[in-house]
Amino acid sequence: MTFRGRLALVLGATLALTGCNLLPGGQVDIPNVVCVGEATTYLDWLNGDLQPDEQDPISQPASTSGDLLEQVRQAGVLRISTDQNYAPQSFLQPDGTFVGFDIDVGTRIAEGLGVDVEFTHVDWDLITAGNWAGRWDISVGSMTITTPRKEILSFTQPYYYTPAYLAASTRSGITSVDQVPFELPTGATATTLPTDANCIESIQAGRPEFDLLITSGTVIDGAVAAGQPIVKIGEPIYQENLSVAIDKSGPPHAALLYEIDRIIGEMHADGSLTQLSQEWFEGEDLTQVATP
Amino acid sequence: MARFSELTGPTVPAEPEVVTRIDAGQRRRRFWFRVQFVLVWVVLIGLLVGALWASDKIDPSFIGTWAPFILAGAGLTIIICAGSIVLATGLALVGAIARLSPNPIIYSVASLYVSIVRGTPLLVQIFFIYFALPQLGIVLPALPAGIIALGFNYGAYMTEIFRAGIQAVPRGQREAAEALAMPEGLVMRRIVMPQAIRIVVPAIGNEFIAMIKDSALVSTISVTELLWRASSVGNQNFRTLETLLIAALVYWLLTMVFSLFQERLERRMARSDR
Amino acid sequence: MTEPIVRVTDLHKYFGHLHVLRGVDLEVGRGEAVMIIGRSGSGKTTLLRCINFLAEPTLGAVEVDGLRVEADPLGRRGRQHRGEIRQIRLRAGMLFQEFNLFPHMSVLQNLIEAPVRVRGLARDEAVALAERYLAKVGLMDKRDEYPARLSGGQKQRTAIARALCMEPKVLMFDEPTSALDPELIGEVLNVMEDLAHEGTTMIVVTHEMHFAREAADRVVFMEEGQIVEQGPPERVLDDPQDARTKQFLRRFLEVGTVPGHEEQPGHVHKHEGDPGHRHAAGEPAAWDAQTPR
Repeated sequence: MTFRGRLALVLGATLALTGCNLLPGGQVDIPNVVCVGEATTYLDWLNGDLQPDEQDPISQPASTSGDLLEQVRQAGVLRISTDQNYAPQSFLQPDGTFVGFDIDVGTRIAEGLGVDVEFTHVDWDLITAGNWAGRWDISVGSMTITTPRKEILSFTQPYYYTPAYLAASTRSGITSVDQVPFELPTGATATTLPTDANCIESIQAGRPEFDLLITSGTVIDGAVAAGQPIVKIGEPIYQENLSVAIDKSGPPHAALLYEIDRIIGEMHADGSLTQLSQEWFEGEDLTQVATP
Repeated sequence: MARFSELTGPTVPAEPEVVTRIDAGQRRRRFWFRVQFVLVWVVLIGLLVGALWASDKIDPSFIGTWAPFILAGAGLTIIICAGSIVLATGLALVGAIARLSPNPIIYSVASLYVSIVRGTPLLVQIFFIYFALPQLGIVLPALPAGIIALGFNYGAYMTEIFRAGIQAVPRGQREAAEALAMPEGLVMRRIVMPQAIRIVVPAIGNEFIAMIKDSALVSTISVTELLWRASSVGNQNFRTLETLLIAALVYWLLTMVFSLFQERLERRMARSDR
Repeated sequence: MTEPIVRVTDLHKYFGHLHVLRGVDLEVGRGEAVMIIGRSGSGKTTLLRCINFLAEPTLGAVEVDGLRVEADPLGRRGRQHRGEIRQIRLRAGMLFQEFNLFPHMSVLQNLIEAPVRVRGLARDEAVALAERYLAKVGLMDKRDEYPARLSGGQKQRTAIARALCMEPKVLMFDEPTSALDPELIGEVLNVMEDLAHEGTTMIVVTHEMHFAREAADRVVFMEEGQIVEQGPPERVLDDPQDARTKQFLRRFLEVGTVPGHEEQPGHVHKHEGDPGHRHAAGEPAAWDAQTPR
């Protein structure tokens, strides 16, 4: 064969191989991969070491001097960290403001403390890692209380509860758990993207690496309502207690923790949390402990 | 016909007609070249936009809703670049002189700065200033951290550019200034530096253009500039194609505008050198 | 005899191990026009550059207008030495083969820069001074031009005006016409000859024999770092005593007219393939690797 002939053959073969990989697959190989957000409890569940927990007992401290509560009152503003891409808890509006369930809860907490509120966008894994270096005061981000997290963060009582669900891409054709061709969680390989919302986006973009993901029920509902190609399958995997968190490595905050916990308790009692939940979660009230 | 070179005297004959025609022809060619250039760009870009439009994968109403928010990020991008440029230029001027200093301590400090900053990735430096410094007790808000990281980084590269520029100024310039009894400070400030700066304008202009693009990296520390907005909006609404196209377009326009300024500046300098 | 304006005493200059100036003694009296000739590498340019300390002598002393400065090759006297060098340079002006005008400044700005910033003159004073000297060299119409638009001859004349604005006691010319096209040499030589006739103290390193005969009071012949012979131009050029001088003049005097000047034998334009011109063109020659002061 001539040199040109060989070159053509190599180029053609390369193109063919590349093309074959790029063309949408006929189907139906479902990889045993499940997508979750980084540093989420969903990842813990897949890895088999989820340790859901309750908040430690909270008591009113003797004095508030030197407490973060005083700093916040003096600054006149409560700085709250958010994940900017977690609808419907916290997401961007075209005018640049953030709205969502978490946003509203955070705003009400600040009102309860008598200060303004300021939201800071931070990657989720930075929030859960602690060591906030004083860049923000509290996290109102639908954070699940877990034993490992309690070592570095202080938690209030939950302000709502959501179930964690499995979801599948519509192209996979799976509609119930028994249709999943591998054991969960043991037979599954976890793949992480920065947030669970990214997992949905990935499926929507047609990427073939996974067909399953785990996220909170509210996120799935929101995505389905927005027309994303996923379906919720099966029963909740587990219930999450979602609370406000404060960095333990920051300044002393027993008083702030107590105050916020008290405000949340009031919001439970006077129904405002229920109202917010129904507003954001399609009429559902997720602020009551789910009956199993 | 007498040879043109033999024609001297008070009456200079008019140029032969062919000279005018050659000149006109050249001008016509240049004009049409430019017309075709613009046409090709318009056609290619138009084809691309048209293909995207026709494929129905792009949602124009989405773009309309979110474009203002995303484009507003360009303002912050410009601010970041402006701040970094100022910082980088200041560092570079000092650094260049330090790198030319006979004082071993000054020289070594400057060389260490240049070596470390040029030897580590910009992204690592951004992360370091924002995430690692707090562990040492230095907590910087995102925007200043980004400007400092960019400014420090580009300062090192520009140090070497300025140093080369200073060394490129002909030695005779310095000698003439010294022969006029000018002290070192005056020599550097009035004679060498101004010429060095003119020499390095093209290189510095390129650095600024690179900086416009590198400013996108500060989106990683939550500075709500152009890329951060495009990325957030795109991810949130599952429409990253539209948002990233917008961002890319804006960066492209920014660098083009800057390139035009630079070209004009270079042309003006070349004119005064002729 | 009144005190000489310039007195060089036993000057030695080593570039590394190359002994370029080997004990030069020279005196230049007030109003004298001294011309230095010699092969490239003979040390004549180095001598000039040592007088205003653009090159630091290795041994010996330089005295200008009563101000005596000894060589400080090891930099022992540091700041004090820098100060005395600046004082010398205020008294001894220099012209370069490559003119070295400041390209980013107009002609006028070139001229007033040092008077204003070094001598502390007020701006209008300096401008008046500059215009006077510009008129003297015949370049008033180029006052606001930038050096790039000037011809070589105009550049050198501007440089002369610039040096004059500092009102030095002596002017030193380092091959001022060697970089000029032949038809431009004349205008510069004319200015130099006028200056000499007016009594300006000058030391000129050049190959232009015309200048020697027209304006020089003394011709100095250097070879291998030493002054071999010196005296009135008629004697040195027409009746040299030393064999080396004879040999140099014989080899050197090839006939070629200098257009626009006068019909005289003498200028050989870039004749020798000499390393000295490498230096003059602005590239560092081998011995120019000095540590910055």
